[in-house]
Amino acid sequence: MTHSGNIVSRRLLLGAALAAPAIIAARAQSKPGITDDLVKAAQKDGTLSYYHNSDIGPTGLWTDAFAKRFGLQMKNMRLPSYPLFDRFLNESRVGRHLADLVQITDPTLLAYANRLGFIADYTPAGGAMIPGDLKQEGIWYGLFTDPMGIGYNSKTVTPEEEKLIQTGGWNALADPRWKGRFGTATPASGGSSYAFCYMFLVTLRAQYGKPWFSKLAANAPDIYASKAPLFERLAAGEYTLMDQGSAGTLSDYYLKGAPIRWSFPAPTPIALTSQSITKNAPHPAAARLFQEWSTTAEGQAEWLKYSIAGATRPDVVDPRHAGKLDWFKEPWFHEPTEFYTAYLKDEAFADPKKPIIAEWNEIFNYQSGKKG
Amino acid sequence: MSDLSVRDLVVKYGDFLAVDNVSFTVEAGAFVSLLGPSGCGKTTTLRCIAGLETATTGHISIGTDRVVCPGHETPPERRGVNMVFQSYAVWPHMSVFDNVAYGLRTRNTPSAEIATRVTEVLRLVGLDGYGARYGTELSGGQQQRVAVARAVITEPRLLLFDEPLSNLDAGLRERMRFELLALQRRLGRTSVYVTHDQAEAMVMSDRIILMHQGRIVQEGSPRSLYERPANRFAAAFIGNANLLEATVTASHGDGRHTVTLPGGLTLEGHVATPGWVPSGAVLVCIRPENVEPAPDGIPATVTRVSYLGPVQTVELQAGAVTLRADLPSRHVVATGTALNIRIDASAVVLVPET
Amino acid sequence: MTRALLPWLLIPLLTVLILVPVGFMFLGAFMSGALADPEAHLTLSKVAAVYTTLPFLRTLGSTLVIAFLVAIAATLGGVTMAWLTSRTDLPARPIMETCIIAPLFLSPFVGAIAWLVLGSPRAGLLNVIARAWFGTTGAVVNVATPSGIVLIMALYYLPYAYLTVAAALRNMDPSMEEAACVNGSGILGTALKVTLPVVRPALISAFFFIFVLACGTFAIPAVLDRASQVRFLAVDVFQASATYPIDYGTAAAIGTLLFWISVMGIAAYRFASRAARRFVTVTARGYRIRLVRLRWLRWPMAGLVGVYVVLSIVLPYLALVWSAFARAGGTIFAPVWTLANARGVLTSAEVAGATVNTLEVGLITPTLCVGLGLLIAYAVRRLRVPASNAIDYITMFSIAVPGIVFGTGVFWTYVLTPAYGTIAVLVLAFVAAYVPFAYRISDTALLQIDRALEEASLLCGAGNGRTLLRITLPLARPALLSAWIMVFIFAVREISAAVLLTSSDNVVLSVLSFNYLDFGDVPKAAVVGLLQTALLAAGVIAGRYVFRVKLSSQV
Repeated sequence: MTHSGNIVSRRLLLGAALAAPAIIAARAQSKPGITDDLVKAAQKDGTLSYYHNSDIGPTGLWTDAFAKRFGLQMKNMRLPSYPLFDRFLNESRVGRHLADLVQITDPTLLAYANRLGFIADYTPAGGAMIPGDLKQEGIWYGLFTDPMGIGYNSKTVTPEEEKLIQTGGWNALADPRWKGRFGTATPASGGSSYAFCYMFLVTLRAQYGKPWFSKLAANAPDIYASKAPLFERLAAGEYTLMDQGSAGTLSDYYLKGAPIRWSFPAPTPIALTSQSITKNAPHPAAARLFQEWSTTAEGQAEWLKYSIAGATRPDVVDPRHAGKLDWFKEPWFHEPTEFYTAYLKDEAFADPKKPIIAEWNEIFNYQSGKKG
Repeated sequence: MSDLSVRDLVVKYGDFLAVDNVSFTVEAGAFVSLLGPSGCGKTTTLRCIAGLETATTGHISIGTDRVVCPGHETPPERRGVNMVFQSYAVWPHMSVFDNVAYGLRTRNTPSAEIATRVTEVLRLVGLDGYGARYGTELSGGQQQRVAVARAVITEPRLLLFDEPLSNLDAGLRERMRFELLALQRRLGRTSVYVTHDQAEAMVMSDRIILMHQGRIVQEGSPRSLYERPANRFAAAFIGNANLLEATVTASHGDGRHTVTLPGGLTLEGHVATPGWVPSGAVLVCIRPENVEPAPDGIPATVTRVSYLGPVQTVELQAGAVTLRADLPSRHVVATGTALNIRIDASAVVLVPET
Repeated sequence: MTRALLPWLLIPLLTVLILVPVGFMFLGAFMSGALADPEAHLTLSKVAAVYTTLPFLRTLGSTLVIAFLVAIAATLGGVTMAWLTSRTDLPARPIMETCIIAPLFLSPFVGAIAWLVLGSPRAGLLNVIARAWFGTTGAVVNVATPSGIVLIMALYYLPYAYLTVAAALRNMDPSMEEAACVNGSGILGTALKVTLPVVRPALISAFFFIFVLACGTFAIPAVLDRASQVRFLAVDVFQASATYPIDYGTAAAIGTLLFWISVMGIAAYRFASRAARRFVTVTARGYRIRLVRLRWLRWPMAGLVGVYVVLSIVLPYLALVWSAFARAGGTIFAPVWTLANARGVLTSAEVAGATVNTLEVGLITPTLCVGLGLLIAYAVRRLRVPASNAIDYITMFSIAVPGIVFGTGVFWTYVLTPAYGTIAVLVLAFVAAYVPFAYRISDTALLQIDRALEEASLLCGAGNGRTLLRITLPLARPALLSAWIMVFIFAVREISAAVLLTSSDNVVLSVLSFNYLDFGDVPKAAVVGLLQTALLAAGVIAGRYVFRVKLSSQV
């Protein structure tokens, strides 16, 4: 496989210049999808059952805005990605159809559910604005992106070390100076961790692969089995830097005042929040309406009011970016230049055996119940 | 007519036979005791009558109702019996009044009638004015009275007592024996009384049923049990007895025999068990109070004296035979002195081993 | 009548509640995929891997060693605390008792994170303070080590031992201690030679109980073990069933392994608690409790309890308060306080809903659970209904199954019923999970009630139902209330099964905090942890001071 072909280089979010006018334009443009008939039918459905994986608080505000706009009632259920997907799958298999929409940060799962016949084919009007690598037309649509970079605690690095992190690319992680100062989570701890490790162990194996991870392992990292303490201890200064740092969580700690900074070496893996309508949705019209709305500029811009993420529509831009607010004003902050999205459509990525977990465990001498 | 009939009752716990084929009847208005050492099956029998224990096989009738027969067990609450428990079982969360009224309330008796009857019964048992107290505030004797009041107020066809006096101290126990008996006589309730205390059974009962190892050993009036024990166990359990191994050396008809004790001592005695013809080795039962001093009697030596006030228990050695004698205290006897004794032939009872 | 009919009510009920979910675990262990997956087939591979291959057997070994150490430490600590608070003139005993059980209020996950905040080697607050004040270098405290994990689990399980042993101590005839004192034994001599042997059966019960529970705990080792030094089966179960790739077969196979271990534990526990019964005799008289006078040891002993209280309650709760209210940028020496997290949590719609749901589940579950526990105990112990032994064992089964595996079984049991997705399914799962506790406490309570008290009622003409209601229930009330409080605590705190059965309509606080943690949002999870603690503390304080519930009760 040729790696360069799998790396999508995009000018990111740089529709910034268009920002405000574009949103208005986009609303007019997406109107055809949200027809009066659809709205009426959705209102007849009355409620919408939403299985989601995104952060519970912002998602609630976002779906409330939708519900208020169209006079519907929302029923949200949030779970971590794999338990959520497993639940949806099992409910579908026994014919207990409760979910109208499934939103999850791993679209390969949605593609898998589609192969099993549990996903409805529906093309929202706004889908056309979403780049091709961030959707599978008619099946799933990526809504928001969360890039993963190197997170670090600014109190525990020297200026010289910070420069290394900001400019040294992914190889900065392999520097022996981080011995005893590095923290990570196993690829089994979640879908985004798995995607992150997948890039280095599979897609970019020739360039990074085992030798690179071995250097990380040689730094005797603190290995966390779950994400919560990983971020919390970085903020507390227990260790200095982490890989697979989700921008969403890092920036949340930044906003809480933690001395946390980050960089996005290229290529930058992203977690993609993607959404599908279920095949046997109990409220099919409401489901379509939501799929329409969440792919409009209006729907995506609404999300950015509550949460930290990138929209998949190039015409929707984080207002903080435009206003140079929060971390966008920080001199250390740099936009990611190149996204790694190839795994989103990689059949091998969805291999339920997840062979790289075993390989990773071996490199890090990490024993768990996962024996590949 | 009998008020209670127990026929072929068997209770098995696994391989253990707690009650082994027990049959007896109790006549209306009678006071009958089930007497025996612990583990003899008396309490189990009583609990089968109450319905608190399940009979393995057998029949029990109360009045004309068959309460236990193969394939049928009337539940305890519908047998029309009541019981006074060893632990009194006074409900600590209820007042004395509520304890006694419980059975009436269960029967939905009007409350005015309940008040009258509870007051009446409390007076009967001598607990006038104690209605508002709680069980835990009463002495053992008073709790006992509450338990009795609670049992009699339901006017049971059969009143059962499960060692009701065994938790009381000695003085109170003796007083309560008479009180209970007087109450039973006044109410005329057919009663079955379980006890391991032979004195208690003797004092109170019209009839005693003596049990051992799940079986009935002997039944009859207190006097007949004392005077005519059916076997070694009965002789030893009821009262004190000199039980001596002997050999029958001559029979005189009319149930009278001559026996020879170890050491060659011969005595004349009689058989009290109907239909039993002794021969060879037998047991001889001599009650200690029937060993009397007699100047021309059998020579013996006093080996020990225990002074009990009204009587003294004297241990004697007559040849190879050790005898206990209860002698009036006015004769002063000293250890080591010689004493001649006699035993009246009517007091020498020949008893089969089993 | 009742006697013959009750098994026909109880056996189907227990079958649905407990046997079917446990059955799904066994079935799942032999399936290659999810039960409803049409491509899944029967296989022996998962069970073979778990039961015969070295990694799992090594993990099993270390699980048993850790659970054993935890049970020993927690039992020794618990018996010491119980003796001090129920048999001696230790100062401030009533407050001490409430303090001793306070660790039960925290879910183990949140509790473990609190310890990480306190005792991680570099940034742990204790280490930061030690470096600043005493000039130490390196880590004074490091909870992320095998001994740290064992100690924290022991601190966490100590209240269970305390509750069991304190009840036994209270029920003991003080004349035994008096006899020893008269014969010239000192305080400690009396405690060791007389008191300890008398409560030994309760102690053994507590030991097995904690052993079984510790085997199934995943949160503490999962959070604290950062270098894979501690292998723990329950962590494997969690990773196999909640992280990628979901491998329910392996989780279920490990579940069956833990099940057998637990069943052995239960058998030993039953044996030990049967022995315990010989000693526990409560008469109507009630003992006048004579307290052992500690004299010069009084304050040192108070200090000992104080150390425990500081370690198990004060420090973790301070850490939670720190996480919830201190701005992330501040240091412990110059904290910047913020209400933003608390406000963010408390004003959100999801918290309001979750609080209501938590209260509903928290009130209904213990009520049904204690009712069912008492009914089973009455049927088994008193009526000796047919199939009593089977009922007795089935009732204990759910304790033997890790929560997450049991939750999956409950999912399959109810997914096609109307209860699924509602509060009802949570209540059903929790009642099943906690009925062993309610049953054991009810059973012990019945054993302590003289049977004659109930028989007297029967002979007065009341049937079994009326007897249960009028006589047994009021007499067992103190024990039943303490069982209620215990199940209330469990139900408010429970996570594993709740996550597997959550829906849009039945989110409870623990699931909410689990979701916050999934986003790495420790401050919000800390706020929810404190909120849960406030609910539980309010419930327990109401129980203690309004309903006069004695917290300790023999299990």
